Amino acid sequence: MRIWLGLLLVLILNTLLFFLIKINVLNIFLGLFLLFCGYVLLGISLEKELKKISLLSKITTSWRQGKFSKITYYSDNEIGKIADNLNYLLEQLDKCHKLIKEEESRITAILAGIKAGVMVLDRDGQVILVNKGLEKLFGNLNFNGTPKPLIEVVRNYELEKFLSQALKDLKEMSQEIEFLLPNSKTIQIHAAPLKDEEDQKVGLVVVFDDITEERKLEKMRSEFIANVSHELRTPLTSIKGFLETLLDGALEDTTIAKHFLQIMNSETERLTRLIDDLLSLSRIEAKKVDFTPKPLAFIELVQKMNLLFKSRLEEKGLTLEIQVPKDLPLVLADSDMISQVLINLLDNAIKYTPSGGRIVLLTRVKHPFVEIEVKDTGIGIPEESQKRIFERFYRVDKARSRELGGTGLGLAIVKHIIDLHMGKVWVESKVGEGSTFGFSLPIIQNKEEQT
Amino acid sequence: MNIRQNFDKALNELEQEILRMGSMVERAIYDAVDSLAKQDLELAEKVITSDQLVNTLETEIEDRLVTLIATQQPIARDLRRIITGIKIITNLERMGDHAVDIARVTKRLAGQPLIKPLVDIPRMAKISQQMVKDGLDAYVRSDVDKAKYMCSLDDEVDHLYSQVFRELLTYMMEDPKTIAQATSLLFVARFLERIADYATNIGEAVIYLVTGERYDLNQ
Repeated sequence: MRIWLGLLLVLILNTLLFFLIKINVLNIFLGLFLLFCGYVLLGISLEKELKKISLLSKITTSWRQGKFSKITYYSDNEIGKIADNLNYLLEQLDKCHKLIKEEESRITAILAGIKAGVMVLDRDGQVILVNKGLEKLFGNLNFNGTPKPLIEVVRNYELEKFLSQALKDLKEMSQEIEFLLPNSKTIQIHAAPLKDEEDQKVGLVVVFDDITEERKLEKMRSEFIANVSHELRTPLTSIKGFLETLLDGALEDTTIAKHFLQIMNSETERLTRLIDDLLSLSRIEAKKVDFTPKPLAFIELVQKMNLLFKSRLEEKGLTLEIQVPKDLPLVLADSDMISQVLINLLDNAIKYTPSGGRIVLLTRVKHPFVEIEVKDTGIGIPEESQKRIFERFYRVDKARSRELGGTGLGLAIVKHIIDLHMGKVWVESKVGEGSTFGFSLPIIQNKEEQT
Repeated sequence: MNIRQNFDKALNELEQEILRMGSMVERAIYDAVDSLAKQDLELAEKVITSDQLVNTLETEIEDRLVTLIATQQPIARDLRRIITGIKIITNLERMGDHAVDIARVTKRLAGQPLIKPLVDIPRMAKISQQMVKDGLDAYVRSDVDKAKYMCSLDDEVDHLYSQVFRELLTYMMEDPKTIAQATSLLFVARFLERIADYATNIGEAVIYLVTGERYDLNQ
């Protein structure tokens, strides 16, 4: 408005001047003065408006740098309207921004909550997003949020080959890949195409599922079945063989027949033992067993063992040393089951210790547990076998164990019984020097429980 | 796209190829040692055939790197990136060859029971593999500290090597029948020790790439 006023004033002054020139020379100076005044007035009002525009441009420039402050200047002319519109736009932008942020944090939260590893690839095979699960799976990932080629994030050419195929075909695909370091892992990888709003496929979502344990269990199960059938077949074959020989005429010769029958008898016993062991193992495992833990004075159990093994120890020329303090706290355990544990452990110690050796049964208190150890001066167990010694049918030396009448299940039963008691089992051994098998049982905490 | 961008793109692609090759070699070393421990002939055969691919990849990457030097005449860091690349693929290729050597030992020992269960050799293998991984990780992240850390791992491998050496020597002195197998196993230990050394070479190359200075990791 002021601009128009200024312009109008200049126009009037100019017209006035035109007339004045004709009238009087003196008035020319007056006219020139008036003309000057008009220009000054125009200049002042123009400068004011320009200042507002420059303020506007200053604020909008700061928007470009991400500082979103409102335009605080108001006026009723056009510049004011522009400022208003810009302010409205800013508000809308702010709303959208918040919405996107919310969506983003929701997605991040969902991704972080998923245990499986998740990775998103763009159309060019660059990694644009990973979740916590993936970082956990691979340890330290080389990814900080900026897009990076896959091979720089996870260095595995099989994975790259698979994913580039999935990117090319843009359809759902799965594959199992073994990753090597730091520990070998079998991972099921599932890739699905990622679509944008117009249903265009723009990348891949890749899910990494660690199935190492499943594969291991599957392998163990099939090994177990193979082992069981093998163990059952061996005595059966020999029984069948002797029976056939008896039927073929050996029955006539009573001395031979008797010898054969004795062998068959011992094989049958072995078969029974094996099946008994298998049954008790499966019962303990399924927790269907009659498990009644009661306060147990360990020393009584140990004395029973001493009696039980006395003749066998003497026979083999071994000494059993018992180091159990009389004031050992009571433990919460099933007496029959712990007897079986001790029988299995002592039986092994006697079997694998050459005559003249020494077996020590000792206990110590390690709150809230009592630890029981059976030490022998036997042949020992190689280091790589120690990890597997508690597995069913695991044998350090198959031929030797069978020769000594073992079923391959003794230590597995021990482990399961102690697991049931919430205790732990362990083994320490050096080849040629001897082995120590130990387990722990919980101590009864207060007196009420004892009654 | 201007010349500079073209050059960067070509070099980035080549660096990814190097990582791809690295991944193959990592796999080959792992499989070779695994084949020996499990006496798996099929796996050994796979290691031997897949080395062809590593070799082809090496020549291909080298040719492309040399072409880059010839056509772009890079200087300073660009030149260092190319030189480092060439060094790394050379070392990777040698590691691949040693993986094949180990796989050959597996084939040679096929059917024979091992004179002793392998304990230190898998341990050596594990550390050497870790070093190869660390070297390539340091490369991809330009991580000088990681590269320098490899030095201590190399000491461990050297220590295990002399341990294996002494042990096998005792076996051979006790029973001359074990000499054939013990020598083969000794070679395996040697190959692993070499692989670890090549890994430190990669570490040194990475330090050179980042700082422009030479650093001896094999002290």
